[in-house]
Amino acid sequence: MALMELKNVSKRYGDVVAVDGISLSIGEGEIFALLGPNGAGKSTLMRIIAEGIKHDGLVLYRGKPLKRRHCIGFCPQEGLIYEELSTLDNLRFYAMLHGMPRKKADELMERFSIPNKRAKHLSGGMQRRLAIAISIIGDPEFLILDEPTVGLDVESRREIWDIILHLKSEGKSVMLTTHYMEEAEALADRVAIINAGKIIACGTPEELKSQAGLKSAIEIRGKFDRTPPDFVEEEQCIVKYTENPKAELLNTVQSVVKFGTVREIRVREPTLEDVFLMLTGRGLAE
Amino acid sequence: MRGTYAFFWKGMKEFFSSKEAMFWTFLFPIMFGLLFAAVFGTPGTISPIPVGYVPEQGNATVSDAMIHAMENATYHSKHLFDVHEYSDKNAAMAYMKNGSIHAVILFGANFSENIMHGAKAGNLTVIVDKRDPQEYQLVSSVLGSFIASFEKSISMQKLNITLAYINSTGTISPENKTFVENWLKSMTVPVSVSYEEYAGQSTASIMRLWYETAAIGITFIFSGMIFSSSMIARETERGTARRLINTRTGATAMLVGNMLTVIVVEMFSAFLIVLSFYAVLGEWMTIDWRVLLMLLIAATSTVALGLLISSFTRTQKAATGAANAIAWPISFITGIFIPSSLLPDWMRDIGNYFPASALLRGVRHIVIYGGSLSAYVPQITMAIAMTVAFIFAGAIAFHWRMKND
Ligand SMILES: Nc1ncnc2c1ncn2[C@@H]1O[C@H](COP(=O)(O)OP(=O)(O)O)[C@@H](O)[C@H]1O
Ligand SMILES: [Mg+2]
Repeated sequence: MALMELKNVSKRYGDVVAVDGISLSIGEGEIFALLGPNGAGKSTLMRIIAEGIKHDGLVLYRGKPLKRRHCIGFCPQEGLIYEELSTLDNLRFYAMLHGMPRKKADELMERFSIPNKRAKHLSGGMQRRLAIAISIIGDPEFLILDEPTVGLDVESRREIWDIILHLKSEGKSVMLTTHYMEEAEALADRVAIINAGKIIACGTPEELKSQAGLKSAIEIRGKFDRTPPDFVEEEQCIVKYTENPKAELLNTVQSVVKFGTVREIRVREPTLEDVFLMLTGRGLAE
Repeated sequence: MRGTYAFFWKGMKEFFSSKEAMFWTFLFPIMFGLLFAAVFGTPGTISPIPVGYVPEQGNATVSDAMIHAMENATYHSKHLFDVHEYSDKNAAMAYMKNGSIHAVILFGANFSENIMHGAKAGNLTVIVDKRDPQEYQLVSSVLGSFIASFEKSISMQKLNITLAYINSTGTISPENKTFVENWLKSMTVPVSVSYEEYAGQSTASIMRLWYETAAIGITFIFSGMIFSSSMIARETERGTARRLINTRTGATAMLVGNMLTVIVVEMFSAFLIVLSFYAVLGEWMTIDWRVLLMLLIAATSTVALGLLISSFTRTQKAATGAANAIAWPISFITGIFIPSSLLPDWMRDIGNYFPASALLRGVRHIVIYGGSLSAYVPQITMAIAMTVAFIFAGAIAFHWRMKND
């Protein structure tokens, strides 16, 4: 049985339909990513699940309508951290709200290696870590992270990924939103692509790529007497479509050099970006 | 309980770490206290009142004597008046207009002559500058009592002359002489009133306590309404109340915890004001459980109003703006800062019903006039009822909005 299940969930703000009849299910121990551009309705969907804001449709948890929401840890885009308080005081405050012992705050600060400073003086990456620490202080089963890495540098982003993967290894189920393709590919077991309030595709990253009819390929530029076997001629280059380009790379190149001079070799793997582009006809980046 | 404490604890921590809050909570009351204490509390600081007059033409025996007495009148060994002579009324009025003198004394035709020969009353016109109401009250009462005592001494003198005349003609038998003398004297001095004796306190100490309580009242209204509305609006803006659903704490705990923080901060500010007055004047305002109780209810009432304001505003900025916009007029029209005797009736009515000002009057009643708590039971009951009503209205509006957003 799915841990979290949504059935035909909708939410409108006046004339804007922020979430438009979304159904999906998330299994236990799974990392589920919502991928979509700004304004797609990702945050609204998360608030429906985490905060129970007014909506149409059903939200089921372990098969029952979700009423009390202690089982959920929610890390919204902003508004969790009290900037004037120190790291430890923030954690202590939330520990009290959850009825957790004080030492839980100290533990989390140490575990997430967050320096104990006034929160507004923490770096962006540290603030995100603190927010995630706050959202798990009540020991929730189901964790909802809204754009956990937005605006962070590459290094801090990877550190957050490690934290999320570690939480998964502890058995927590995670739902997160992102508009970074590589984040969804790196973290998620399953991805739902959401656009204008609707899910337009859902599945594992591989499923999505093959659903969209996209294949990996080896792309070679150079001067050739004729097109080598298995290759097709495209603009300025020759291309070989294959399931597993990295493994075949060496052999392929060895056979191609017999036909002429190689100047540039590239492996082309379809990304979720390509999937999104295929499905919506526009790019993800703002 | 635990959740309420969490919000209270967090609120206190935030207060002690925010520079802005520190200013309003700690520095502002101290500044306010020190300034008010220095201005209104230090005895012997009254400077002579500048008064102008136009000398009487012809026989000026009595008017000269009066001016001479004014020049020499002292209070606590300081001159009461600073007397200036002008050639005519217009010249004197010109000086009053530019503020150099606060009152003008004009002697009517034949003033001295009339008093000395008793045919008619001696007419005296006193013009007092009313442009500054507080100054006006002071000048007119000091001048009034001076003139009254001068009048008394003239009557006494006339009486003594009369008695001397009666004695010399021997028209009263010696047995009746003492009786007639005393009886006539009693007519010139009918009642002996000493206003200063009334509350067992000097005017200076009444003034000082009045402004000490005014400083507390103003701090309550401003910090109570502004802090509580902005703190609660900020939680709303951040979405805290909604996210509490993921914790074991309810939204009521959030409201109560935030309100408690502000109440404690207000009481602390009040203490700082009392401390500042003590630092300047070396004298404590009497604070017993009755005063403490009324201050506590007053603080709660302003916080309750803040809650009400926050339930109608969406952002911290809007709440602070609204609270400011309400606090300013309230601090003026409820008689906290401006004596209610100077206010028009409708403002006095608002002041009577506005909980914080009603309670502050109760506090003044006790600390200034040594009154009793029982006299203020109806006002206290009313203030508690209104505070409870504010809290309920605010909490209901808050919950309704959370449900319907
Ligand atoms: N509180 C709100 N009031 C009105 N409109 C809102 C509100 N929250 C979101 N919306 C609208 O709903 C749509 C989806 O927003 P959101 O869920 O924040 O998208 P995302 O998180 O994918 O960027 C947007 O058009 C946004 O303007
Ligand atoms: Mg969003």
